[in-house]
Amino acid sequence: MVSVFKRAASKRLKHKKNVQQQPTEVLSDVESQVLLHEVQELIAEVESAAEGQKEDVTQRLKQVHEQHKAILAKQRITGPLG
Amino acid sequence: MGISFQSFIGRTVDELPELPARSAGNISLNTPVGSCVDRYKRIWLADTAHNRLVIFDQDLDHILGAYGSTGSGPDQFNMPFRLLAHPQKNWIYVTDIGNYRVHILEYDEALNISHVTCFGNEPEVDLKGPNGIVYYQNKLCVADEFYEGEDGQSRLVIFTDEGRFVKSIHQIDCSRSEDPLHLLWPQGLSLDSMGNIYIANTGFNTVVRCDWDGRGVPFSGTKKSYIDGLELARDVSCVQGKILIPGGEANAISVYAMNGRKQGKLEGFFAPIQITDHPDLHKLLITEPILANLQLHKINLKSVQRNNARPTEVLTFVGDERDNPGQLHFVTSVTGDIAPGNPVQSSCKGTHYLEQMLDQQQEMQEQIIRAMQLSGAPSWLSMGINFQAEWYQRWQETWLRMFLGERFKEPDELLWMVDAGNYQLQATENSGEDSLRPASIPMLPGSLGVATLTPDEPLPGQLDHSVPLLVVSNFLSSIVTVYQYSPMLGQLIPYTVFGSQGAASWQLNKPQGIAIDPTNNDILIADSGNNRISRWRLTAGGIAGLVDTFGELGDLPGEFHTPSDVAVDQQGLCYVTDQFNNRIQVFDGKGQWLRSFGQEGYGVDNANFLLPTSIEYENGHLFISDLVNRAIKVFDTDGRIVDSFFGFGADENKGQLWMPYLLHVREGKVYLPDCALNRVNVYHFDYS
Repeated sequence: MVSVFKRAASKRLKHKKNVQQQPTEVLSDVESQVLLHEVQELIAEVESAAEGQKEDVTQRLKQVHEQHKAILAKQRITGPLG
Repeated sequence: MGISFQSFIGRTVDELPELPARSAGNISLNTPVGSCVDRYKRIWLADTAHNRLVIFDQDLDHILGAYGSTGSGPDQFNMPFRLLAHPQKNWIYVTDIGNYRVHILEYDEALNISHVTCFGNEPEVDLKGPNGIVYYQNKLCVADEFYEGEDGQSRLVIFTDEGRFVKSIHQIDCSRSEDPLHLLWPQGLSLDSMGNIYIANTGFNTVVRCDWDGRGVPFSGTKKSYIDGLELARDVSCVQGKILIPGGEANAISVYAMNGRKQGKLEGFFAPIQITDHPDLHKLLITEPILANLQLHKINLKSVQRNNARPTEVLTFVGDERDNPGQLHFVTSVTGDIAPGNPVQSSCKGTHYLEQMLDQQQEMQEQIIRAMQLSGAPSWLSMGINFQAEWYQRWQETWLRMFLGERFKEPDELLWMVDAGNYQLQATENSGEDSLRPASIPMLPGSLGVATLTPDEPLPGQLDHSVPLLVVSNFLSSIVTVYQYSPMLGQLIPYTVFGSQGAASWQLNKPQGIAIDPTNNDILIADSGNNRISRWRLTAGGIAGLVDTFGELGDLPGEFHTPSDVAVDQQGLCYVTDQFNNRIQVFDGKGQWLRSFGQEGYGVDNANFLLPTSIEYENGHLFISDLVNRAIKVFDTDGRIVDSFFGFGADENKGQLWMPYLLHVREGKVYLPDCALNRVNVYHFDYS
């Protein structure tokens, strides 16, 4: 008899192949890309900040935080244990 | 030559005030799993990774008592897992999974608790992993999760209610139209009003129904003795005339009718496990181990029908935030290096003022959370508010740290770890147990893997070339962020970012482990949801570009089923934990498959794997964390075992493991974060 481990692994693989791949994460593809762009913009601003602009940098970080909050408000949360 | 446990990193916060005491603000839980309600309507909770039981009043407002400590004595536990209240006697059954036994505890109205007996560890029974437990007509049924039958199958074990062994059930016999069903890693059990047993058959992602003789009981709606098509089957609960399957679909509790047909789902959860019926009408107790809390929900399950999705109302929950100084919450990965000779001392020394400020900040924040935690709010909204409030708190703390100018003295000599549940990186200068400090701007939830990258030449915009860049993968957003150290802010800030969620070659889906190719500084990412390895490169201009990807879903050579981690040796050979195929695959620098080693099976000192999760290369050796076997296995690069360490449980002084994640090796030191125990174990491998 094929071992239970092999049968279980085959069943899980078959299930995965049959089920249309759908992201189970909280963020949609679009939101993920929005987030990507936000961080990119943030990086550009932080990069160009001079020593005396600490206040501006922290303000910009805070703005991104607010935008993240908006995305988080729409999402469901999940975890990596699958 | 050999590997041995040395120490751990991560503060244990398990102190309780004089009891009884208010729940809020007084208890930090560590991956709680089981719950039950006793005959006086008190709620018992298995605070599993703290090796104790905690008893609350019916409304979860007050902590009434606590019982147990770490060990193997009569009053001790090693991962108390599931709880069951005897319906007629003042007894609580506790499956003590790490001690391979079941306790019977007796209690009275005044909550005096005494140990009656333990069973299941006697040689003729020899439980290998007592997990779920149910009672019916003076008999108990226990799911023996890690028992290995002739073909690897697990079993159910039947005892009298006093713990006398009756028999084992090794397969579920079905009608002529069905083959026998086997169990693999059965976890939660439940019982319906007819006395039928429901088994969360985790290895097959099914829920199986049988009687007490191991005969399958078909569902009238499907004619099968099991429910299939589940995302996960870690637990099952029959309540209010429905079958509830936590995690049956992502972030939800699947709801089935008793005829086995899907009714809908309860949404807005994280990774729920045990559901216990509360004495009050339409109330459910739900443990969220990863969130480290026990929640009280209100829902009339009759409203779940025609495949709809319903939120529940969160009435309250217990379990404070795991954000005390030095404490970890779902630690997933480690990287970096500690300079030899750094004296072991608390890094928090001299920051008393800061701690005071943070405490005040936290107290104020908790008041805000409580004010926002409206009774009767739907679960997704309620959890979302908590989530945002906590996120906000992280930012406040970061500003404060910046304001006070707290920074590491030698940021190039730190051990960094992803403290995912607290949405931040923490760092230590000396790997002392209580030495962690937050070290980054708050990260998005879902940050998981981490690696250090030292560019050959300073990159444009790099603020401090002496400090390595940190590459962090985010499981949820599928974005990889490269952080750098800002001397101005004394914090890590993003340097560049790439990825985003999707299946296109330049995208990622559930990225996990990261490795840096020492031959060219490429970034290799285990793109687990896309079943491939993704190779990226930071150009001299500091721009991240995709080099290539290799692999696809399958079990043939070169294919993957959930690759979880990757390592690269000095020659550029790439080693991948092909997690659900239970093997290690080896590729050349161009992604061409070379060979594989390992096969599925139990074993702590051989090349058998059961969900190998993490891999790292150092000095001609491969270090592999083998999840179900709870072993760290050391191989040479040809796949020959050299040595191993094994330990299942939650004893912090023995290096035991529950849910080990992405390991890190540096100069023989093996750092293995355990995201359920919430600490990083440190082992030493002697190469000599």
